[in-house]
Amino acid sequence: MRNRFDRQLEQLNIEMIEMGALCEDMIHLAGKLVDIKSKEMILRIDDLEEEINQKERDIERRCMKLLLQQQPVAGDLRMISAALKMVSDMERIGDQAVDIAGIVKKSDVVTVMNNHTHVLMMAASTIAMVTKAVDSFVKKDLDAANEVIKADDEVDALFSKVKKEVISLIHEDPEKGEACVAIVMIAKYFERIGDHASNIAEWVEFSITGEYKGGSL
Amino acid sequence: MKRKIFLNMSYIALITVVCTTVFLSAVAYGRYMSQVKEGIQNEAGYMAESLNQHENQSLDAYKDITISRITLIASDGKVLYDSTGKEKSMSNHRNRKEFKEAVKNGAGESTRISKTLKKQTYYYAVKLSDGSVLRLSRETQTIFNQVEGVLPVLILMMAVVFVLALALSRLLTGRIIEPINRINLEHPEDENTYDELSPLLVRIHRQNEAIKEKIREIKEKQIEFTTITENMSEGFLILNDKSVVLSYNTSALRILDINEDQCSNQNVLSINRSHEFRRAVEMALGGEPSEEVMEFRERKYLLMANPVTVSGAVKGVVLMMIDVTEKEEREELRKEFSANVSHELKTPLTTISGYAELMKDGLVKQEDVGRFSEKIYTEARRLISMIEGIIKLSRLDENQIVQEKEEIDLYQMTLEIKNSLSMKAAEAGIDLHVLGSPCTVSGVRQILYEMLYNLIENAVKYNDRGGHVSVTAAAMEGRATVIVEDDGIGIPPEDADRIFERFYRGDKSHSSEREGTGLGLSIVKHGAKYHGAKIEVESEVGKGTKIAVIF
Repeated sequence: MRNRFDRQLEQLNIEMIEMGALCEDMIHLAGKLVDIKSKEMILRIDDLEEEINQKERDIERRCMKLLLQQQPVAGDLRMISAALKMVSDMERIGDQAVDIAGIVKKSDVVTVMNNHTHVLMMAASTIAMVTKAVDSFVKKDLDAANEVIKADDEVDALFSKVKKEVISLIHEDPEKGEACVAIVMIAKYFERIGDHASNIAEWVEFSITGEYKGGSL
Repeated sequence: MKRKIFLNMSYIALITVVCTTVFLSAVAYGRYMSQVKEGIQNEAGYMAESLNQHENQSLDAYKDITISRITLIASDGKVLYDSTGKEKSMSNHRNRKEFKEAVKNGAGESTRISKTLKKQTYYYAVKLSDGSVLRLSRETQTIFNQVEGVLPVLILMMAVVFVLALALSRLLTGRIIEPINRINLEHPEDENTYDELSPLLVRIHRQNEAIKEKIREIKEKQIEFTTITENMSEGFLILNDKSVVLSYNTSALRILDINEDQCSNQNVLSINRSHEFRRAVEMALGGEPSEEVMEFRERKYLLMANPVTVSGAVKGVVLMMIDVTEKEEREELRKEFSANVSHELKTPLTTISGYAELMKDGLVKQEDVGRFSEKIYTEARRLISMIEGIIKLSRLDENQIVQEKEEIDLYQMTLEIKNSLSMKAAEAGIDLHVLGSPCTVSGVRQILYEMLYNLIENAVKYNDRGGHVSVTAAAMEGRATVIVEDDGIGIPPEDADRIFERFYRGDKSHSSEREGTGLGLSIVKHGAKYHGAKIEVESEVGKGTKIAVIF
């Protein structure tokens, strides 16, 4: 009985890693898209979104089944409930990557954005955060999780910087107004992705220590 | 073992006890019966004698002195007297066996068992002198009664035997087993316990030997395998059908940047989850061999995943990781090289064909023909010199030069080169001077000349008006050395590695601002290699370059 349960937990762990990897793939693509616009990548990101949604449903079903049929306790229960929370964050990251791709597809912002703002840097920081968050889950690494939570401030700071840059850009050249709106939105999405990554890291911390945001739940 | 011995002992004891009891009972019963019979026969004999002497006696007088039942039967079978007093109700005894025998032989006997089997009666009849028959009978025990009587004793005995058997079997088992337990299974032949066991021990011994041999073989194979995998620079992983890592080599750990704990018995996904890695593993698990190029930590790896199939089912995956960073880079260089070659060769040809076409069509004024032919001529010269350069290089590549080596004074040679370049230097407004002292090397004059010429020419060519070039040829630290130093445009650090490549030019646009084939330094490099010399380059953009050739 216990054996079967362990196998199912292991399977859940693997599926979580796969979903994390999908999530990473998507944000990598989004990061590349803000650098170079590419039709192929936009299509690929849409494919990945479907895959990640399917994976979310699979994992949710598996978690529910485990909770109802095995009635896990302690560490196992924490791991499963954290997984349930994490998949929604991962799925949101995927959605936001798709949104970024959508904006890049519709408007021509890439050159303006990269010449005048720090969005590319934001993208790099958030990608690093997501990668590290997934890593911290895979390796059950508390330090990595803490680093991700701290890195969120960095991304937030970059976001305010981008905002200021956009404001001065509009002052300089009101013609670029449309592009500026798109830039702000893209930056906002990256900022949100950073938030989700730090949420994931918090849940990783919870599944390891049983403490959520520094206190017990 | 104990249980078995106990049970066997118990069976034997049980059978012994039962048999003994049955036989003893039978013998005892036989003796008892013969005594009883003898008693009755004697009694009957005395009574008959007494009755024959005194006729018409009342038999009641005998009734009280014997426990036997007395019956007097008339010769026709009618019962005349019975000591139970029931002679009136008794039926005719004419057909009784003992009566018939008595009438016939003078005496007769019979034993009858009552219907309930509980009682047995012995009858003895004697014929009296008056023809009537006297019969005595007595109830005796049946054999069953007899056995019934000894049954409690029997049960008691059995109980005692069981207890004894239990104790004995424990003792015996201990004694029998103890030497067997003492057998050293590593060396079973040392302990000689039971002869009966020796075939088994010999077999164990042989099997031990066989197992040792097998283990040794397996260990050897294992060592062989580990040696092979450990010494290859390619990463090597074996996964089972659940993609859990079964085996790995150090290169794999290094490539994937993990330690052993993170690798053995872990799902491979927790080691690397990049898109290409997952796809390769997935494909192989689906039974298809696959190849992917994965980028990891700034390097490129070729992943080769092959399924391991056992009778048609995929049982695992063998994964090889080969570092192809350099190969990919070289590929990139080759592409750039051929692009460069075609460009370099095409540019002069285009110019030539353009000017020639204009002249052919008569579109050139007579006075311009000279200038145009001049252009065609210089471009053709350039093409020729480039092709010459390529030929020289390919000769150097193939080590085809079979010219005799001779002692050459490098200082002398640099002076010669200075003389032939002094015109050019003066035109470019560059101060060229040679320092040093005579130093000789053994080499091929032509190649050495080409090398130094190219070096010094480059220093002049890639310099600004008013610049300085200083050439030093001398023996330094016992080795002949030529140093060419300029204060020209310098080489950017990102190009420093590539200046010796064929057709590589710092100026990517290949504009003819400074003419050159891009082959000069390549010839220097190959020449140096041919002579076993070392080239050192120090350069800073805008400040100048220092190239030293150390023989």
